[in-house]
Amino acid sequence: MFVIVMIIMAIFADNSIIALPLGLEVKPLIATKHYAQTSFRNRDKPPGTPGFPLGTDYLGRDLWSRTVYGTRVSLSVAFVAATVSLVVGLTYGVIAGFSSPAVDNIMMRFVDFLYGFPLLIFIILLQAYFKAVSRAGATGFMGILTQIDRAMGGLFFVFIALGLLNWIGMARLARGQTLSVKQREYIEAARALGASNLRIVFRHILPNIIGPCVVQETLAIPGYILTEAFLSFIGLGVTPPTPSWGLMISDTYQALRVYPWECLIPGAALTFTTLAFNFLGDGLRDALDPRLRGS
Amino acid sequence: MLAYTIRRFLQMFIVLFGLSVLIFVMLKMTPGDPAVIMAGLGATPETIQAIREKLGLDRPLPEQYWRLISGLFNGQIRAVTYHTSVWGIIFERLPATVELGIFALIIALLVSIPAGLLSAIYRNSPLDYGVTTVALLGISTPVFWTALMLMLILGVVFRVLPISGRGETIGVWSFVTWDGFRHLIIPSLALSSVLMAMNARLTRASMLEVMRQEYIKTARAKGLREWVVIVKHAFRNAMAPVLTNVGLQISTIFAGAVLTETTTAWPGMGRLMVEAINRRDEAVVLGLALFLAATAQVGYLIVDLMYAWIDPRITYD
Repeated sequence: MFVIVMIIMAIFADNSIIALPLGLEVKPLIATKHYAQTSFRNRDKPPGTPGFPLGTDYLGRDLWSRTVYGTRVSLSVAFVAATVSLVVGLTYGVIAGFSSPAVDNIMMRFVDFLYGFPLLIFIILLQAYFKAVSRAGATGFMGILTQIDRAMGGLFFVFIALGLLNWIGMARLARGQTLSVKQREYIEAARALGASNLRIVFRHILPNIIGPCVVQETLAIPGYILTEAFLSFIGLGVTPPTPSWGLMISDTYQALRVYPWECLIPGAALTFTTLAFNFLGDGLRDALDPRLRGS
Repeated sequence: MLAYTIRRFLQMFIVLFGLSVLIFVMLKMTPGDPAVIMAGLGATPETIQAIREKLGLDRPLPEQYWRLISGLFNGQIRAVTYHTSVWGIIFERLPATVELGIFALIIALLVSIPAGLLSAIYRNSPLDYGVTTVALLGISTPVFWTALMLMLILGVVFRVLPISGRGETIGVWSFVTWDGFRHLIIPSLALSSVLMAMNARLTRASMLEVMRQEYIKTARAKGLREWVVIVKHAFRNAMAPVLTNVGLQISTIFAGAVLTETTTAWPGMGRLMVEAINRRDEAVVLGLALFLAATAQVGYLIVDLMYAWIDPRITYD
């Protein structure tokens, strides 16, 4: 339920989804102000101040609006990273599982090699590199990427860093599932009826392996959200003033003693979101695989 | 077994080599000539050329790579912003993180194993629901937020613990002094929250799995008392995956350490990583990344070998 509320919040934080295609002025809907609108006179106001339901931060930016916009960052990271990982991993895994053992072996050795990489360190390095590139002003291919990244408030490189290696686990799972499904009688039957390889993969294998893969991916979503918050917290995530919850916490934690709410609000939002996705993942798993219920 | 160990070692070196080459290429591809930056504004081309030669930047790439890697090991490569070698700064910060990690792990195991065990034994009881809910919360809460909450509650509201820094140390260790120990509590509690949640869930799942096995039925049929069945037959078998998983949590511990150390101003490697990134001290970042990757790899290797040791049914060939 909470996830649905979050999605609605993310989409309707302002009316850009309707206004941009029609060329109208972008106005906040659920959020009451723009996330980067500062107000010098209203710095560090406590929650409940008129006009600022959750108070303001050290630049007088409305915390409610920033938290609402922050949903967009977290959810887009969640869905983009999950989709990339699912699509790439599934493709790779199914190809490896369906091909001849020699091809399978080569493809999986490569995955094993990548599996040895410490994921988080790799993501940190990648982000540090991207940040250095975009500071220095790159040209050519990297220059185009930097432009896209700037337009997206620093989110694009986070997507790349998260998506680049997270498909590995999915590839392993998909390959294992493909190998086991490949042996079933109905595949043999389909083959006997003269179905092509493509038809077998799309009509017979994919529908049968997609369940566990989707569940696995849903369970990985909280990890993506926390990684993004972590990256933003250490200054390697989105570019200010994009309101990522991790960035909001890192902006305000030093004033924790004096203005605790500035840090508590994004933290609570982060916790509830990951909790909601964890419940969603557990629920999906129980629904699709009743044997694991309650474990 | 020996052949397997050797093969794993080789694999480990391939991964580390791959990682270091990748990092090296990333450093090289980063725009901006280090020689130009070091020479400063208005430097003559001759100065830039001289610096380039001194740093070996005019050499072919494989040689530059070799200089960088060997320099990391023999202390030739110096951390630009720390006035010491990269190796020196890493080893200076290492004990603090080790201390924090071990304490967090001890707390986590002391709490999570009994919790997971009880939760599995009294399945579907209020206790079980309590444990699973708290564990789910623990997984969902970002570590840095937990750390901040602990600081706020224990340090600011109740004023029972110092909220940041490391306190007094004897040598490199701080837990041996009362003051240092008090400083250690908040960071290690924060770090342990995630480990606790993960291990409690794992213990519970593993215990439930074991309790379904035939040999538990046999033990009960023999007329053994319930606690003997649970402790001697189920618990021992359920512990294998939990204990070996500890080795796989090295990277989780480090990720958590980056966050807890930053929030609580604990002078360990995680904080060093963040500092080095912010100061753009690439040599330190590279050294730390390789060091941590190597540690994690050794951890994985130990885990795999321990599997065979704990469970003799598993063999590697």
